Amino acid sequence: MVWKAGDNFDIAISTRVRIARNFKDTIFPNRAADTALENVCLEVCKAVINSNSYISNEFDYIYMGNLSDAEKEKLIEKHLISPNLTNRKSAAGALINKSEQISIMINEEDHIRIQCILPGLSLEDAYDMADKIDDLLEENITFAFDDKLGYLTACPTNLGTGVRMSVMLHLPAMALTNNITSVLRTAGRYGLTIRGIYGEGTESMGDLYQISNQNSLGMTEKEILLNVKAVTKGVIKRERELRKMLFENDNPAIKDKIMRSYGVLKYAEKIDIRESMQLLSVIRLGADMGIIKDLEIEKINMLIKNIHPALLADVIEIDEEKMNIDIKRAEYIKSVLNS
Amino acid sequence: MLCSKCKKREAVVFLTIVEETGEKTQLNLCEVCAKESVLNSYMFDNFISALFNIESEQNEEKAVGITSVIKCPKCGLTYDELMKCGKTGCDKCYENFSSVIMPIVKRIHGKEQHMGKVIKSKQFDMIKKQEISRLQAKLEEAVQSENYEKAAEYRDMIKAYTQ
Repeated sequence: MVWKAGDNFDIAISTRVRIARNFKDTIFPNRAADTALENVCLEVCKAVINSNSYISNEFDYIYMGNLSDAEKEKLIEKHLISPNLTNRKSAAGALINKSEQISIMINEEDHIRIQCILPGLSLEDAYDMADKIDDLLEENITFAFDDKLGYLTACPTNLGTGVRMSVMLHLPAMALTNNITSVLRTAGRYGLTIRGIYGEGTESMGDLYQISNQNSLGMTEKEILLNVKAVTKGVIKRERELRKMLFENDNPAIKDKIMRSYGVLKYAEKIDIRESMQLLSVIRLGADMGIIKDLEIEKINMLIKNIHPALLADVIEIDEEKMNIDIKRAEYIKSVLNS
Repeated sequence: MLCSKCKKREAVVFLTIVEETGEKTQLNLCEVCAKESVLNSYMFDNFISALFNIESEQNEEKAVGITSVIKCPKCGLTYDELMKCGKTGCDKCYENFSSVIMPIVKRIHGKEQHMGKVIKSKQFDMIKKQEISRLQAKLEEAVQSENYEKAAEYRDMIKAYTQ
């Protein structure tokens, strides 16, 4: 995943668009035989790699059967593949482009899941990228389609356009002022859902939430996009208002909370994932509101991404048993914050 | 469509039973009769014995036979599996379980008609449909303003599209 700054980057961390497609006349992955699914892998790879498009050289094919658990975990933490895909030992894979913005999962719940992730709020660009891949695949693949139900998917919730658009938002002020449930209700009225990332249900780790469309049938891609965009902008506006309100009158309690969190992150010897995510959320708010000076949001974004077990093992040496992971995490956070 | 057993309630489970010979039998049941049939199986006697050669009178054995009958002929997904996991097994499931899936689709999305992108082979159809509805509007407009010459022109254009 890209965690660099983008449009509305103070609140919108990233935008993800995914398109679900299936082969016509081929049984869906949950019931198909491996031989049929191997053929799906082959056809998708052929459609991308043998295409005349300039993008064909940009993709690498990753076969699930060839990956170690650590490698799978790393791709999951980067949001390039889903845990569901790794459950399949064979006849599944992903085409991932070099910049890691596009991934095409093969034989997840559907035969094809095109996914584009861009930094900040950039629904148009992310959809355009995914849509182009869809066109490219269609040159060589006939998709399952019905006049009434649109693109046919394994789960009826993805019928129609097969499109899900989501924006990852950092909402610390909303969480601090207990406003999350009211936003959840509002989103529901517009056919959207908000859920915590890295957490179960509405609970979230590091105040990170994902807003996405619930319905994919009966609306055009553009309508879905405008709907998600309008609600997201509304949520961003509300978060900004609440941030402003929190810091009105030089609120010492909130400043204290921010500086204490910064202190713990800078000096702790041992820290687990949950605590570090929570503290990083608070200092991200502090950096955005100018309470912590000279700390770039990008640096915090990088930490939020890299402190998860598999990716952490990539940036700092960790025992094989991961016994010292909390110590190493603290060490890594310190090194980044002091750099 | 009325249930072919009780002939009172609306049929919601449509079964197509394909025999080895390729012969198809259509059976439309309401929810009550469908459930009853699975449990008691008496009305399936003929089908079951034809399909599975079950001669035993034991209900249990028949019930097994019936649940395996209510399934998608293409991917083998049974009605029970569909209800349990909520996921279809192939593109044909949407046709084969249409009566049970469509109300679910409507509940999820609030709509039943796809809008937006279509596959390439349907693109021409879509343009045609849109063009016809555009011409129809023009035709009505011409009739309203009593411009019958223009109206006849639009009528012929629509005819050309629909032929």
